Amino acid sequence: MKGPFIHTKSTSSKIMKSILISLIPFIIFAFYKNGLSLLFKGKIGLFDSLKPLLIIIICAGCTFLFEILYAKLFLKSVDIKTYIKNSYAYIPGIILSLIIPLNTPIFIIILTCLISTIVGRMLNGGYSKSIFNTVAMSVIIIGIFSIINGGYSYLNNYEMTKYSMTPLQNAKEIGLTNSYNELIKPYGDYKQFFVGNVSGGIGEVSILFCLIGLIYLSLKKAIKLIIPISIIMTSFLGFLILGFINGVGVNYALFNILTGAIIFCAIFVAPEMLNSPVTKKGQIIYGILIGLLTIVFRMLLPFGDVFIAVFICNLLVPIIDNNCSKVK
Amino acid sequence: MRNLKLPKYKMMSKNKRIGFYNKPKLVYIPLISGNDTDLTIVGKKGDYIYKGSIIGKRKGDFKLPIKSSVSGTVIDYVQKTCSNGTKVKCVVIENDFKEKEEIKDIISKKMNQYTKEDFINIIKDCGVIGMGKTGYPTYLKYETTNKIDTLIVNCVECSPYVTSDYILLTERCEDILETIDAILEINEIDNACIAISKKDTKLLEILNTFIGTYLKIKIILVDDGYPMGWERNLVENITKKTYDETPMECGVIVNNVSTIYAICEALKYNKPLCERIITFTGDGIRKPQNVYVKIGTPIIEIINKIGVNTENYVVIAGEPMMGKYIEDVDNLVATADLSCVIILSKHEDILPEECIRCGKCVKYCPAKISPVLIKDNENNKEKLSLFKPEKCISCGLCSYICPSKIDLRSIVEKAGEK
Repeated sequence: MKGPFIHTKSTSSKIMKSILISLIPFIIFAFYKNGLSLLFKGKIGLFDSLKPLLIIIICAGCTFLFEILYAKLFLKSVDIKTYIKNSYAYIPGIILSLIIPLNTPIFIIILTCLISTIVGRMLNGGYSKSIFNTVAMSVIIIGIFSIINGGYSYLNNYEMTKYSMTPLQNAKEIGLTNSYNELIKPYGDYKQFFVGNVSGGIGEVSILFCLIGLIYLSLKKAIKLIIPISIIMTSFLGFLILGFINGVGVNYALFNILTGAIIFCAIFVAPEMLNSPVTKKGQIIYGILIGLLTIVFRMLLPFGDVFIAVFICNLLVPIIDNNCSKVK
Repeated sequence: MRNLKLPKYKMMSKNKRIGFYNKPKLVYIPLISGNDTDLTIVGKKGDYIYKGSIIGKRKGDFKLPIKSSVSGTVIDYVQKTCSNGTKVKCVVIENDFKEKEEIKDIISKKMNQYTKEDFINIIKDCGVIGMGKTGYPTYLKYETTNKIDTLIVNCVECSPYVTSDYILLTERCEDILETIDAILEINEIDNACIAISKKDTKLLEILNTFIGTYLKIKIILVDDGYPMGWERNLVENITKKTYDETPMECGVIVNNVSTIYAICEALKYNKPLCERIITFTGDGIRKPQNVYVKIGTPIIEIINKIGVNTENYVVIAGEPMMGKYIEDVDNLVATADLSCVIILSKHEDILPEECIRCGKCVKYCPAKISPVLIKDNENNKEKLSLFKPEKCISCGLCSYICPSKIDLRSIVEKAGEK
């Protein structure tokens, strides 16, 4: 037996459970926003109202199943029972399901889960050795499919009757502007954006729940807190500066930070334990890089800005960490 | 600097009366000084030994004598387990319970009338060593040519379970303050700080009642995190200075409070270091308490005297973070640097899981190294040198904090050896 003879009560599975708990409000919210509330209004039938829940279950189930199957078939050294217990493969699945468009075909979802699980998590020999952020990867894959197939709509049945685009797509059509009337007004007001009563990914749109999740996770010490803070600060400041250079004001920056899943991604995707830096300095650099790249990609690319930024920065993590080890 | 709060487990043995165990039939004086076991044995089997006689001497530069803690006859030389878990050759002395001492010049000086040379000679002759963890000869600290302006008395006891320093300071507060004052005067040191944890309000109360006449001594309250009692941490926290090798470089001497008491006995009565207070605690022992023990006493005798709760107990020599698991408890003997013996009713090794790269080991490492990155590059010698695993102080925080229960400390230690 070797010391220390006392250990912290915190365990890996407790950390994972905290993340799972912080996601539950989003699941309920997604089900309410895209299902129940419409059912009550009489806009859709019972089966359609279960669709958001179905997508979440399929995503979680697929990532979990594919991972276990792969481990069982190809990873000879692992004990499958402990692998199931420790891998928590369904968490990335749930996170993914909250980001993607509501009208993504089920077949595409399953295919994406398969690709990202195998390439992202398994090829290197198990979840603990993955070098990609599976969620970011899956979002990008679905984005590519979406472009090929002419775009999957983010809008639910009710929203479709009112708008033709999400706020972000709308803003991209308009170009640089500071007009409250053009950016925010068509979709309500800032309060609606904060609560999440606007169109976007299935569950990610609620800033309120994002912040609750962030507070819960930081109380539980289950998050690398520096990463979301530096991402959000950098991207907000970046948009603000960009706005001022182009002669548009605060509304532009606020709108951009509130849409496109930046905050959700900063809290639930980017600080994902396995593929983010371990040193404090590294985490700051990682966050700032993601923030900056997000702005660049939002200017240049039609979709997935923040996720592409996370994906690229993930590849840089070993370099960041090796150069930020604190010893002098 | 971020210090981690550990669970304390101190109440079990705090505020309990001090126990005594000063009549062992046989004592086993380990022939070890620091980590050096290559000592010259003085005397032979059958010799009569006075209390305080020299029975072993260190070779080389640190000429520190090993002294007997009882009077009696040398009957054998055997291998016994020491506080660091290794087997060490011990002198077995059969106690005749007379506590006879060699006749020596009676000292009638007041404590502060010694010259600096006398002071150094006395603590050298009495075999005073650092009683915290290191076992570093104390006289070497005072022999420095650097100008010393601060003496820090370490009574932080940041480790869980241990209360031996606490109990010593509460019981012998006056003596200790007097000694500190004398040390300051003899060595021309400007001031002294007694560092205690800010949670120890009772200790503060006791110190405050006695400290009035000692103007040079300050009480410093430090954070109660771990490893606050680490020398480097303490010096940086109190004086805001950093150093490379020893604190003497920046004009600071750090002494454990037990060491100060050993100096006190040396100066007052010319008494060699042959007793110390050891905390016996844990959920496996019937009455957790602090015991005054002669060096060389078999620990099992004391455990049996206090009584245990279960038969299958586990013994840890030292505090829970850095201590060692002792397999053959029957052979463990008390040494000067053993501050605590923990008796647990059960302890199982936890199976490590996969690393989830949470970065907590990096966040809390007091030596500012990155255990997880060292683990990643375990077999890559070139890259390892980048992360400086040799800077590890073996405090065990990384292994403590790891949510996957990976024993990072031994990985880092192993890497440091490469």
